[in-house]
Amino acid sequence: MADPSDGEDRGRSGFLLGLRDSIGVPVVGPIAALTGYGVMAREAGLDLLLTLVSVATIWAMPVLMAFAELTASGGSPILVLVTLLAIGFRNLPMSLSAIPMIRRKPGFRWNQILLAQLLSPMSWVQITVFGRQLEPAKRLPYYVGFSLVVLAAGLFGAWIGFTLTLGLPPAVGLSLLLLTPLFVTLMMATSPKLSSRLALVFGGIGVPVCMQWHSELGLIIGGFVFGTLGFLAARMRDRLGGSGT
Amino acid sequence: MSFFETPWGLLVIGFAASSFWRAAGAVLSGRIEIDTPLFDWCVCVTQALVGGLMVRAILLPSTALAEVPLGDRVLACAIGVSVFLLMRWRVMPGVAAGTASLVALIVWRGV
Repeated sequence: MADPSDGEDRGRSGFLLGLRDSIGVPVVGPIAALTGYGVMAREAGLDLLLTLVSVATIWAMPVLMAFAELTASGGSPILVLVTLLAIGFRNLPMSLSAIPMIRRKPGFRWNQILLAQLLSPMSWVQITVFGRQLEPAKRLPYYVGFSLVVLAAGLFGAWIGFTLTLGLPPAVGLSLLLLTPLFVTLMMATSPKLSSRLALVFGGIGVPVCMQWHSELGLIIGGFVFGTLGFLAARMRDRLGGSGT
Repeated sequence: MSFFETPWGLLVIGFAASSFWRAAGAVLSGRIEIDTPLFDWCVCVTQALVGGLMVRAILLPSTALAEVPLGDRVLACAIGVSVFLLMRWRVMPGVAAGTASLVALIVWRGV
């Protein structure tokens, strides 16, 4: 008979591992990014409580920025709903591909909606790339530990941006804005799957071009087209006798 | 003025809009198993989408990073990627090198 304390130990060690792995760039990145949102929210006329609650509930930078802009400009509820639904679509594939990595049993459970709420590009890349190296029982607590610290860092960053005038040297402040995109891109490049690496290369080139045509539709169409291209290219390589997908 | 026209009401709408797709992804993922071609394809689409967004955040940023000349941003990233490759695909040295290079370039140019 399995010892229940064994499962608890695995859960605890997975959670602690997630906390440990979040220290460093995964924490600095959201602080830097959300500092900008804090400044923007203050200038848009939001109060501090509303700013922090918006970070904790919306938890997606592009949606947050649009929310602050629309609130400041007095957008109608329907306009806000339609705009934010369009911008937030990017959360669907992220959630679709992350949840199967962390769930304990096949199929849908209601708590997965709560887990999806914690997703950010940082936690997505961590669980889909590094999560494969963890034993399945540790993935969920790992994801929760990692994501909670990243969320706390984001809240801290928004608070700094809202309450403190930017006291950082401009060179450091500007460079921190490079940190998250560079970290997420390099993390994705370490994916063990050739198909994922090809999708990253194709998407990195093609999606920004598509977004020049239309920022929201271009993102969605580009993601589907170039992701599928990476997937098919890796499968074709497999069929021709290569390996590594 | 109705509740949904107040900032807190708009936040409720924003939360619903943001959560809708996350929840839809979670529900749909119940039909997907990892280590299947369908799951790989979903990861590829997300990888392309997020990768594209990250590259765009560097090349065509909507943040204050746009104040830094494009050449400096590209050079800093090239240094970061080079260190990443030279250090056998280690992420932290690559990120540190890229970010430090950008600090140096900004200070040097006096942006």
